[in-house]
Amino acid sequence: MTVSLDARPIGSETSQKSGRLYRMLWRWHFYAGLFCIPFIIILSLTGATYLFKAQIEAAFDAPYTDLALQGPAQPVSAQVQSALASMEGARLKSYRLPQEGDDASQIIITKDGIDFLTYVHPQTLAVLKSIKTEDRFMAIVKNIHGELLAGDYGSLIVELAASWALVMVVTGLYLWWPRQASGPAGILWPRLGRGAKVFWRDIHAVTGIWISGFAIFLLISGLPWTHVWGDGFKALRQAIGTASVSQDWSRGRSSELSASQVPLAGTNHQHGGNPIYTASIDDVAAAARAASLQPPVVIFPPDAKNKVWRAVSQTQNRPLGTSLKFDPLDGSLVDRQDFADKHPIDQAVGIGLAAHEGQLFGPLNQIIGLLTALGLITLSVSAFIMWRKRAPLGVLGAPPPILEAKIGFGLGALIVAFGLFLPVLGASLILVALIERLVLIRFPAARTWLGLGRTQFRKA
Amino acid sequence: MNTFIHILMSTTLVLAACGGAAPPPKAATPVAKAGSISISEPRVRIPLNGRDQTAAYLTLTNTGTKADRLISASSPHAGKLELHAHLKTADGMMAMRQINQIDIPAGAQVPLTPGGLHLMVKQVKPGLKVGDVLALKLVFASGQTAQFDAPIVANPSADMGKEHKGGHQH
Repeated sequence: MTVSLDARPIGSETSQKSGRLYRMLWRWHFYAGLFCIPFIIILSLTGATYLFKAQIEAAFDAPYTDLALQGPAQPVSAQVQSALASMEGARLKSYRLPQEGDDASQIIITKDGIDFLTYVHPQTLAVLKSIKTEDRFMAIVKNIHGELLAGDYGSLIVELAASWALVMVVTGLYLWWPRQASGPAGILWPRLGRGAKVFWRDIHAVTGIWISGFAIFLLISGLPWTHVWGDGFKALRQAIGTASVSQDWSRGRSSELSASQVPLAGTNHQHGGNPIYTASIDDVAAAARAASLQPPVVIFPPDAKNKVWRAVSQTQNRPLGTSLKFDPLDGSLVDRQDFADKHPIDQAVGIGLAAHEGQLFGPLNQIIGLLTALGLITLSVSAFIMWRKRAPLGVLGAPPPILEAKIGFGLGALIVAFGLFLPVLGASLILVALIERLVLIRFPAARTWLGLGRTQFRKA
Repeated sequence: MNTFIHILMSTTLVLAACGGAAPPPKAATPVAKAGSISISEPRVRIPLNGRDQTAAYLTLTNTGTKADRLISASSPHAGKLELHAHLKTADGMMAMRQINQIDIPAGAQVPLTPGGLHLMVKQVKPGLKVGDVLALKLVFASGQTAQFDAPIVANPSADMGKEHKGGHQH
């Protein structure tokens, strides 16, 4: 098999050792890429969309704003009653403060563990629209991005792909590192006039170098949402006692659903004397409005888990978020938690999540996120084209195996460190090694097709 | 190191506040105005157990540059309205007290709610039900007045849906 390895071959002066390392990492890059590319494309497309969540939802909600009102709005409690009356047996889950007086109110009611977003006309009390919250466009985009519409299994696959994508960036940077360059062309910008092979190689390498830092940031800042890493992080924090009472990100829908199924507690028993009147959603809404929190501001009634009324600024720009708690009896403010009150680790995670969602510092943040997503798609497409151009017929087209490959102590330690930091990556490495040694060894044809070499194993 | 983290955090917060801050949800649409004071979200609780008194709540928003004060309230359908507040007594207990005025600083939004300020409505006409309205008149220190209808609202025990009502059978 003769394959032109690269537009930038390893020079003869480079030692055999580093040549082997180059080819070994190239093989890692190749196999990791083969697995990652479909997921990187899916995550980039959905992620790029999600960057504009606020704008897209505003467009979807446009028919329910600027309503014609013939007279004053009805009390919030009457609007909530109207939403509840539209579905037998439903309970109030949350009420969102409308941004303007002529916006429909957005009330989430819940029945049998399913949440419905209900738009109620503030004056006529007509229910204008009701939609399962999980059927909302941005909820679907988020569901694909976080768990590929496949629950915890999907979340695991996303985590696996993200972990391997980190390997891709790191090995890619090693491969990109200019060893023999005569100038910045092909390093910082692509060489256009030197044929298709050079063109695609340069597009890949140059795009990679420009976005690698942002890509690493997105991959790492997304980890708190994942199944294994995210839960492990939480457990570790509880173990070392740095966990705060609540974290403001949830990983996956399964944890959100279980939180929503907690029934309402009886909080409205009359008790003698003070206060005569128990607080209602009217009072909490008025108090929350006066607090001037960053939108969206969502009000939750007391339930078994939180025995207080809560008004929570669910702004994606988490450093500006605030959470208020109101006494379930008289509705007085009993607690206010601002971002500055959070544990420093939660603050760091919150800043990371806000930047990940493109909401930390305005439109520039969205643009950086969008360019990174487009860059990742460019990387995937150019990689695919390079692969198909190079792959000989009848085999997968992996870079040729290295005879007598040895993993040195430094690289070995790096692999172990990666595997420990990203447990899903570590587990998949062990699994792949086992499959190769126990299963694929019996199928020489498959080994050849995969480009694994005859019986040569990587020595770990 | 701590200084560095501090600077990093402050920079991030400034960045977040400058680039990403959005206007908060607006005060509800006013039902009446008295000079620079807007009145929104008025509501009167349906009297408990056939009593002839109840509480009225609303939000006062001062859009002007000068402070104002609510000094009295009245209704053609009630004998008397009093301004009330929950105040901490000397022994730290909360107690309801009649007050002479409710301050509304310039630019402030002052919500009247069960745990805080409210209007006590006395000798209210009998037979009110949810959905009715009670006409109210407010008088401010500026000399301005406002008249509007406040809807009668249910008390929370009946507010939380059918499941919840079931829990109150004895």
